Amino acid sequence: MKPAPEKSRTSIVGIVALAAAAVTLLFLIVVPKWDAPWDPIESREWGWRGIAMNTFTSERTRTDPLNLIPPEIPAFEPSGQPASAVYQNLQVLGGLDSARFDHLMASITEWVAPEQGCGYCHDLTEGFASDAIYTKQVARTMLQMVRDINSNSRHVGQTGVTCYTCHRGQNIPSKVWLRGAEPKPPMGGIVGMPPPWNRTAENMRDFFPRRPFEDYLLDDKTITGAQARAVSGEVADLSKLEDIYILMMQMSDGMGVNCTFCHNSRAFADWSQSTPARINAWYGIRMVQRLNNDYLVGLQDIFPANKLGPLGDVAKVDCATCHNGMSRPLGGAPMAAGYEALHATGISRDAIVRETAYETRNARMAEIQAPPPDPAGLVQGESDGE
Amino acid sequence: MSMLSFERKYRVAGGTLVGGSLFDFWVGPFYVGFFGVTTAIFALVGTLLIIYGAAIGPTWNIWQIDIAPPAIEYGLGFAPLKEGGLWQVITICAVGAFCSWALRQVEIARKLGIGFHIPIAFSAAIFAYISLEVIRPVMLGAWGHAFPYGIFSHLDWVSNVGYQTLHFHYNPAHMIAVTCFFGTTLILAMHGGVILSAVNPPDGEEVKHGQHENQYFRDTILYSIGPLGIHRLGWFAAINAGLWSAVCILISGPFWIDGWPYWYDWYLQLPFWNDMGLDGLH
Amino acid sequence: MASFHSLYSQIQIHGPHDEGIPLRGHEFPRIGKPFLSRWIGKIGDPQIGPTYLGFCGIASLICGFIAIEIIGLNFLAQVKWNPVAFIEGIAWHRLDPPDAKWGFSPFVPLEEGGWWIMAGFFLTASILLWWGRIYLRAKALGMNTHVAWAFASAIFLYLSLGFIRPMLMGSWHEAPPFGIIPHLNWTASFSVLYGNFYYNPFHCFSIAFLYGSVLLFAMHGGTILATSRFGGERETEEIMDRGTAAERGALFWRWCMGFNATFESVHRWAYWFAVLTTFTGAIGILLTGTVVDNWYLWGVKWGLAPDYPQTYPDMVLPPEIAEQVRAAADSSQTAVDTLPPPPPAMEGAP
Repeated sequence: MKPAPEKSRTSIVGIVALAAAAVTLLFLIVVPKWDAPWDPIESREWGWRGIAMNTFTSERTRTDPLNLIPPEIPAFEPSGQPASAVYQNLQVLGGLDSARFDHLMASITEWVAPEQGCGYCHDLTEGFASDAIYTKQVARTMLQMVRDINSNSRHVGQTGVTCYTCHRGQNIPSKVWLRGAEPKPPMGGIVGMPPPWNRTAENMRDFFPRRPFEDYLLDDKTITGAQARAVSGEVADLSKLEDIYILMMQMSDGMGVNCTFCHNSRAFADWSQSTPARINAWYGIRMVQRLNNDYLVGLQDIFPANKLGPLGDVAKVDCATCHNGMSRPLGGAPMAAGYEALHATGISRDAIVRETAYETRNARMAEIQAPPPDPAGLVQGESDGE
Repeated sequence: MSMLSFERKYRVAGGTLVGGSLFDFWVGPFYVGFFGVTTAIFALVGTLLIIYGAAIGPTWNIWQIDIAPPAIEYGLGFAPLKEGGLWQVITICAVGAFCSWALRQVEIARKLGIGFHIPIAFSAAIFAYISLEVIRPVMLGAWGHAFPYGIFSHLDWVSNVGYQTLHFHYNPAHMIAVTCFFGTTLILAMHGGVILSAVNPPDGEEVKHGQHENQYFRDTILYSIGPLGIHRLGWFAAINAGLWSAVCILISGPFWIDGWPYWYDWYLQLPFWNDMGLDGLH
Repeated sequence: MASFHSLYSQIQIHGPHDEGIPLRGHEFPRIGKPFLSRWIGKIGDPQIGPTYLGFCGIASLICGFIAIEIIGLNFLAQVKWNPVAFIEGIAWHRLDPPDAKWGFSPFVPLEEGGWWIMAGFFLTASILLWWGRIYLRAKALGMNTHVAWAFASAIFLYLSLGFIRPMLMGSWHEAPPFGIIPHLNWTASFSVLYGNFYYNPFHCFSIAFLYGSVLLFAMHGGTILATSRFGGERETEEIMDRGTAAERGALFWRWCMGFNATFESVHRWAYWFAVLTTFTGAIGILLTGTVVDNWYLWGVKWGLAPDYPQTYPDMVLPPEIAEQVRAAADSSQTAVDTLPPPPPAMEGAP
């Protein structure tokens, strides 16, 4: 027997296989939007050292133009007369000084409809007082919502929000959610239920099932049952847990953090091992529930049909709507300061001091560790953190 | 005597990488060599430091002993011994001991006139360790990203690092690594089983050899890779389990900070889905 | 460069096919004409086939085909028979077990999980028939049945996940779904639901045996490849009549770590590590939810969980959260969500 000669056919197979592998590798390196360690990636630690309760920020989120704070419109000189004396049909802001009212209106235009201008909400032929365009009625509700948030929301606290916190200069905030199509059993129910993935979505955030949002951000279901008690006879529900898991992933992704921002994952349920951010998130979930139910769902009949989702529902908010990938929206900038009409307590920009969980932790670590770490050795930036 | 019946004729001088004949001797069954000495020093110092770390720590409970890296505020600098410095020295000892061990394997292989396949495979494991404890922390800018030395504390670390990217099962390199781990174990069971079943036949049967092993797998699963091939495959799969484990952790953080599920945006954005009729849905 | 010969076959000898050891007695004939593949020959034996099917093999393939058809057609129907959507979503399609309300009833409407039960039934039948084949073929060749019992250990894990544990829990809903991403989601959710699988001691064992198996194969494969220049791959021959390859392989490990297996006993180590990977894994699954609800708290009870210094010692829960925690703990006798309800709020009300 003699060694079989290599045939050219086999070489071609080999070259094709190698080329296919190389193309696949190249594709996976080039196409996904990877981060890079030389960004640099900035990290913050939330727990005891060595247990990896860390969050990261990268160039990708920090330089997102939507996350930059817009230039402030200089305040107008007070005119000394209330807006109701100058304008008609003022249902919310009648008592405001008319110059401050003008300033607010100009700001809202920049925040929500910089391209369309006043005409986006006001029917300029019928005059400013007209409620003819639906967007004006929406805007009035939204104004009430912002005042409610700034006055009553434990989640937002003294930071304050404006229209810009969600809208970022766009008519519709870039991250909202609509009900997915109801899963309908095909073939009259003989074949199993289709999964609730949103198949035509362009990104994973929209691809994930909507049921977690519907259950926990619209219906006021409490997030419990994440710990089985099967031994004592309760029925555990794995599909419910999968929903909670997806909700938590969507929350984390929307805020540019991860599970360890709030939890020590070895015991998710345990509050004593959680960070203070979990308290804030707890209030956040309830705030989102309230905003969706008290303000947004009620607008369903006002919107024209082409502005509604496939199931005829109005766009709703979740964490990502305000946070847009940052743990504090717009880096925690006190956006509402200077707009007393948006803020029942009227705090000025300078007065806002709030001890963040990050500062709390660092003080505690310094207390445990003596001597304290050299401040020059800090690797964190000052931009983004609760 | 610690020597096997056939061992004496294999105990010959030479084959060392460094040190010449200085440490070219055996202690009991162990070959020493230059790298045996360095292994012993690194391992001894490292072990004693771990014991010291336990002694100054809050517990002697073997499950709870935790020697953690510095907080990430220290960046890539040195930390005081009690605040992670101990971990740093132990890590140096560990890397030194592992590399010494691999080089010692090279020396023994040279002495026995066999190939270097064992130290090559071990290098993959060392690479995975160094990826976790050195390369990834350096890329992220702080030793604090490395895992702590402790039985359950390192599991807590693994848990939290997994949840740092929300759902680690979506990490594509992790998928490959897990497949290699499961696959290696599967073929190990098949290989171990078939060898044992060939040389331990039922009563009244003769011992079987390669032809029967081949026949067994051809009969049951169409193909038998053969006695040499199975060791190539197992060696390769085992090395890949280590290498892809290293890849999956090196990309988590330094190259992808979001949740792994959200990495798949590109898949949904491939241009041809809608062209092929997907938009007809809903 | 002869050393590469241990990594791939530079020279292949393509001679007459091995037509196989004659079958003894009343069996089906082998099927398929053997052929040689040059690419496969680079790392392994170039010959593919012939193979033996027999009753078990044919029945197993039929059952397996039915199971895959049930799963695949369900997937396809879920995307309204759109082939593009089927391919796009191949990783995401799912076939779920029945909801908890159906308990462990074998009669569940098809669209409510009946398809899942049916697919699981045929898949199980297929696997068990395949096991019979693994067992009978070894017997037929006059070999022992080690491979079959290793396979049985893997089947035990499979059955524990999909059948035995759901039976003990009285609910199909506890079983994993069919589907690539769905079963990964299930695994993650399962760990959270039962309080962190890293603290499940049998999960620890299983992982240790899994990693140990890979380590053993790296060591064993490396040893055989390294001694292949002395014929190390002729393992059974070396076991029966030790040659220099076995001696060098043994001495390598003896000199390296002070201990060596033999060419036979290394396969016993390998076999048991691999078998125990799935066996201990199955035990860990069977204890979850039946005996232990929360593996983390189990670990705390037995002193496994490290006690880290608190990073937020002054953090106290606002009353409304504390109330919810207390209510959750009261609703069952077990105090699961552990924090003692603390007094006032952490930050001043705005």
